[in-house]
Amino acid sequence: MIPLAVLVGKALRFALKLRGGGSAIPGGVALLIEPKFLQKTLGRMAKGIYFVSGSNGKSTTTAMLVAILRSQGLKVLTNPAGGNIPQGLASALLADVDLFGRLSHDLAVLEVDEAYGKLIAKKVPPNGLLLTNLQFDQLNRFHSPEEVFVYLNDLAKLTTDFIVVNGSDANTERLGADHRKRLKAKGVYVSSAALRSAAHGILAAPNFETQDDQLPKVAILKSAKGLRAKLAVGSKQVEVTLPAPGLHYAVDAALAFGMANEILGSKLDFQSATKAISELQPVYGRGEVIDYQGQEIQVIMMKNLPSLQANLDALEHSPKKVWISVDEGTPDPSWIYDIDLKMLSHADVISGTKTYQWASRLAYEGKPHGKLIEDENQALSYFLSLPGKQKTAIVNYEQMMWLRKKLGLLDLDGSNG
Amino acid sequence: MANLTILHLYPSTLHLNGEAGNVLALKHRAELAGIKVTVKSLEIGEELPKVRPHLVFIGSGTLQATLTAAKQLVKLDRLIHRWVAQGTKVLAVGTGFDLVSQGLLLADGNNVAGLGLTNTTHRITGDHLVGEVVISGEFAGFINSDREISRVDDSLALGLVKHSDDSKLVDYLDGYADGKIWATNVQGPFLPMNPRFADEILGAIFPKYLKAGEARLVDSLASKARKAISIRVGN
Repeated sequence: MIPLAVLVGKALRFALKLRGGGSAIPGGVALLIEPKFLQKTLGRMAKGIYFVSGSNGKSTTTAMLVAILRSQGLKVLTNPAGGNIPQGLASALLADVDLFGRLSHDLAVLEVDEAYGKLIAKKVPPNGLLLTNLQFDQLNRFHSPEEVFVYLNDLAKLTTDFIVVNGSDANTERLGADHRKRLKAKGVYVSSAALRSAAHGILAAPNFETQDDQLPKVAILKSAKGLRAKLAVGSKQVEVTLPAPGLHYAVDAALAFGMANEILGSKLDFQSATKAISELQPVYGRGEVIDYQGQEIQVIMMKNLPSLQANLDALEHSPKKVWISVDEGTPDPSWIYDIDLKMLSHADVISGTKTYQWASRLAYEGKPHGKLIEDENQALSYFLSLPGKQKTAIVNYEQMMWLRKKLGLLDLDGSNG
Repeated sequence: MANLTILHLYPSTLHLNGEAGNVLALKHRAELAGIKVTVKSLEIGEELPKVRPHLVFIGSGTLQATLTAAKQLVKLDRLIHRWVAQGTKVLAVGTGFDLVSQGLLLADGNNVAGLGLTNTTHRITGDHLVGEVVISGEFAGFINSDREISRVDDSLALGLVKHSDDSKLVDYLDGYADGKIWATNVQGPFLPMNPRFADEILGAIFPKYLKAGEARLVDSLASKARKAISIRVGN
């Protein structure tokens, strides 16, 4: 059934691309025709399959790890940001497989959703798993970080060789420790100096059980300042330039180096790896600056509390022209009351279905707001008409995707958004 | 000038989803009305303040956070009851409602004692109700709960909950309000969205409390936020 699944999937993918934008639909259809589509394609990787999961930083860490591995001359298959559910992943694979489902890659590095990751792992168990963190995220979907802990634990159970975790996050460190008897388990740690570089640290969810989980260190983030990060990976000292400023991106770089070290061992060439990370562009909406008709629009994503706080912490100055836009992709923005808004002096325009919730939040904090325009199209026109060339958009994931498209940037493939 | 002291219990543990907004809303409105506000936080392991607060606020947490807080609260049980008898008011939001209730029955059959300040008994069903809600056509917010609440009588309930998924809610009553204790199963910033509720609490603490004219801005924004939810819920 593979040729049929590939043919139909590729045709659908082509047709949907013509209509503009990617979709998880072709992958979903390919999986319907050939339920073993993932096994029959990905299962043939000569040098293994590696998963990246966790609450935040998956896309950036995956992009960094892929860049490092490619810099070593390896042909790496990966899924675009957002294509981290089975259908999205299958959609992404359709771009690369031949009619018989064959891939010419050496290894695969896949970003997987915390909950859906298990479904992918059951079909194609990863050799190695990298866990970025466990933070407050999508409570409407997960209810509590404690439920996500169970999902990530399930993912670790399906991993065959090794696990690398953020050791400075009590929950992911625990996950590494819980599996160290069966898997080789290593931690990537953040030094106290690096932790102090961001006002709110690494924003990990709490863990209420105490035990000694200290893992062997595969990498340490020694310091982070703006775009510069200093790491120790094994006995090597590494200094990298990040795609965007912020402690969270520095942690992502340390995690990527730690994982690359576990995959390649002594074969890892640090010089080309450092160069590859330093040349990396920001992943969609993650510290991205969009040039549009002479204006620079800095996109700050408010995917969840830790992502918004980390992005605000990374700002050097309060943004001058601010647009906030949040829609039903964030069913409950209650957590904005836990955000430290010190870096935000005001909003020039607020839009989306959550307009008044955001405006109330600012008003309770005594921060002024300009126009409240629920319709995001009208709000965008107004925002672009404001004087000034440097502007900041604080948007949720769905509004970020909409905005990128609206400003003429290409969509990504296999999105789950 | 009147003084208001708020004791925020275990803010680092019970902060699931913006519950600190409730303290912010009380502070904002009280200050606009010319009341001097002091917010004290009591974290787990810290010593209790010596002065009786006017209001004790208890937020919401994960199950483990709630159980951790419950273990600590047992030690404060007598003191909090004495404070309440002397006039302290209590506001509990989200799983804080479990902590002030008669008790919480866990999925494994164990019972966790609450402070017994409400006439409700809570049980974890494992079936989450998630989404925007309107209560009694008046209050609005977001619920994310797998609690079943049993009551001795319904008269002190906050009101009937309307959720977009009617099939999940048949005569579901939320909350508790008896003039001394206010509690809701709705998590997060309940008072910022429903400032009338904050006025009711401030009025119970200060009989002469009068809402300040400057509260109009947040009142208007909160009213529009509630209306947007009400439309989405189909109320």
